[in-house]
Amino acid sequence: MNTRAELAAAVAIPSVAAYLDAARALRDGRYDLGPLRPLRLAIARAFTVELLLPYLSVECALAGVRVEAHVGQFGTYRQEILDPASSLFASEPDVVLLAIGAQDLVPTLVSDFLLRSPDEVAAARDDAIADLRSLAEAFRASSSATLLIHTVPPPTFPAAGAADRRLRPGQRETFELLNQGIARIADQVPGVEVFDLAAHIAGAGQLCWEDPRFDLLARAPFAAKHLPGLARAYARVLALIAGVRRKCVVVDLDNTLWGGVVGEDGCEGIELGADYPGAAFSAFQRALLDLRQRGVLIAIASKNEDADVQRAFDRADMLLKREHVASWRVDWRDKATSVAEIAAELGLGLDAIVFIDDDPTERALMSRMLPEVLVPDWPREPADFVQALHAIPSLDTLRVTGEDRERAELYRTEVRREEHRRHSASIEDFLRSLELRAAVARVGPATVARAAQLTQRTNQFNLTLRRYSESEIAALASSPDHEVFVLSLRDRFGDAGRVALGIVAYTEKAARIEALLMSCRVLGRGVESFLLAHLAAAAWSRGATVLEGSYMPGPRNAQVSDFYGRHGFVSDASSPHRWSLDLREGGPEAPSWITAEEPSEVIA
Amino acid sequence: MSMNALNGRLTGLVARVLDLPAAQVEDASADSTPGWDSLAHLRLLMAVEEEYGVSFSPDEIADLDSVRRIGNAVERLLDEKAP
Repeated sequence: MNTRAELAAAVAIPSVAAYLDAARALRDGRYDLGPLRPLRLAIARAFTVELLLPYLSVECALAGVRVEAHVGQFGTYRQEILDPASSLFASEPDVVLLAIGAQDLVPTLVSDFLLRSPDEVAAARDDAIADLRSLAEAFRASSSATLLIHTVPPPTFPAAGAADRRLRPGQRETFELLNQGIARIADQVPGVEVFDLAAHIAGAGQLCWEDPRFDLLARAPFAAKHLPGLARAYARVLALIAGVRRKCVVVDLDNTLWGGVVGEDGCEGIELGADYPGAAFSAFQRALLDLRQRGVLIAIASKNEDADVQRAFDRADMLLKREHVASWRVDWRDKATSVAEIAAELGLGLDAIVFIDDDPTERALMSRMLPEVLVPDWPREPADFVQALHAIPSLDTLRVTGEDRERAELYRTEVRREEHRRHSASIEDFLRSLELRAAVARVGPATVARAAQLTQRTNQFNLTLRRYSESEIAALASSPDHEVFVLSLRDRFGDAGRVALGIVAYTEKAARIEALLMSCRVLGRGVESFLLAHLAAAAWSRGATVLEGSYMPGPRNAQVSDFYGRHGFVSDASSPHRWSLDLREGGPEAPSWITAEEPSEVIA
Repeated sequence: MSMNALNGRLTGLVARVLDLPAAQVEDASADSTPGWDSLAHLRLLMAVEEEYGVSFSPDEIADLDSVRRIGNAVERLLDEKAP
C-alpha cells in the first residue's frame, strides 16, 4: 500500500501521464491515505470539464477529500439547475459547481464590445449578475447543496487593444465589475461560494513572471524568459507613441477569411460557423471586426469569381458583412496591383497597408512587388489566426476616439456623397449642394486626443509633418504664445467629425503656422482654405501683421507643396518652402459654399 | 554528461553572453574579467539556468563568480535532477 507522500511524489513532476497513472491507482485503491472526507460534486457546465477530472481526484485526495464527480449535460446547466428532478440533483451532490464562461453568461460583453454604448455595457453587466443571482435563488429553493460559482476571466485581447485601459468603460474594467457583482451573490444567497477563476488565471501569469531570487538579490523582478515578451509589449506602445501605425488590413478570402475555396466548394461548402474548423475562421472575422470598430479599415483582395464571393457574403454566418468592407478587388489580376488600387482608392499610402494571405507564394510576391506593405508571416493553422492578427503592433491603438467608433458610418456616408457627386452638373454646384458647415474651435480637454491623433495619422494633406503627442498638444493649448485649432465638418449627409487642425505660434508682430493638416477623407471641399482663413483672422485679431507658413516635403505630401502659393503667400527667395503673407493687405477668403458654425459642445 | 561536453557548451555560452573570446572563458572570473559586472553576472546566470534547465539558489547566484564554479554547480544540479 502506498502512502500520501508517495502519491505526492508521483505527481511532483506534473505531466498528463503522471496524473492519469496516479488517478487510476487511486481509483483501484492502491493508496492508503487514511480517512478522507467524502464529497459528491456535480458539475453543471457549458464547457468541457472532463479533462480536469483525473487531476481533480488526485489533487482532492492530496487535500484530504475523496471526490466523486458527476458531470452534467453539455450546455444544459440552466435546465438542470431549475429542474429539481434533473439528473444533477439525482446524484445527491454536496457541492454543485457552475462552470460557465463569459460567452454563456454575457455574450454581448464578449463580441462587438466597441459597438456598445456605456449604458448598454452597464445594463448587460447588471442583467448578467441579476440572471445569475436568480439562478442561484432557484437552485437554493430545490437543493441544500453548496453552490460554487465562478468569476469569469476577462478577454485576452480586449476589443480596444492597448487602448482598453483608457476606454470608459473598458472591457477588462467591465469584467472586473462583473466579477465583483458575481462575488456579491454569495453574500445575498445562502450556501453560495465563489471560486475566483479570473484571479487564478491572472495569478498563474504573475507566478511565472516573478523570479523572487533575482528580485531579492538585484531588484530585477522579472524572470529571464519573459524579458523578450515584456520588451515586445513596451516596443508596441513606444512605436504607437512614435506614430508607427497602419490603417488598413487587406485580407484574402479562400482559406483566410473562410475555410475552403468558394470557387470549388461552393458558398455552402466553405467552412464557417460554430464548429471547428469553421469556428476558427469565424473567430478571425470577429477579431477583424474589433479592429474595424477601433478605426482600422478592412479591404479584400481575392482571386475569385465575384458572383461566388457575393453568394458567400450572403451567408448568415458571415460575420464580416459587405458594408464592413471599405474596398474590394475580386478578380484574377495579381494582388500587388489590387493592393495598390485599394490604397489609392482609400487615399492611403502603401505603408499604411497590412496584407494577410494564407498562401506563402502570394505573400512572397507581395513583399517583392510592394516592399512598403507589411506582410506578416501567417500561421498554417486557422486556430492561430486571431493571435497572429493581434501580434501585429502597428494595428493596435493607444486611444479609441469617437471618430474611430463612428468611422464605419463616416465611410458609408462618403459613398453616398460620391453618388451625389456624379449627379451634380458642376463641381461648384456639387459643393454648394452638400450644404457644408464648418466649426473651428480651440482645442480643449475633450478634443486633445483627436487633435494628437490627427497629427499622428495625417500624411498627405499635412504641411509640416510634425507629430504631436497628447501631452504636447495640451501644453501648446495652455501656452500663451500658441493656439491650437480643430475644425469639425458637417454636411447634409452627416457629421464628418473633427477633420482638420492648425497650430499657430505668435511672436511680436508675426504669426507662424506650425502645423496645418486635414484628413484626406474631406479633400476637395475647400475645408483647408476655410481653416487657413480662420487662422489668418485669428492672427490679425491678436495684432499680427504677417502670417508665415512652411512646407516640409515628405514621401506623400507633394499635393500641398504649393498650398501657400495658391492662397496668395509669397515664398522666401532664399528658402522656397518658407512662405509669408502680409495681413494688412487682407487675408485669404473662406470658400463661399462653407457656412461657419459656432462650435458646439462636443463629447469626447 | 561528460565534463568536456559541459565545458564546451558552457564556455560557448559564457563567451556569447559576456562577449569574450572563447579562449579566455575557461579561466574567467568576475574579478579578472573587465565586462563581468553585477549586471552581466545576473544575465550570465539567467542564461545558464535557461540553457541547462536548472535553478540556482540565491546564495549560489551571488557566489558563482567564476566559470569553473558555475560549471561545478551546473554539474551538481544536473546530477541531482538525473533519476
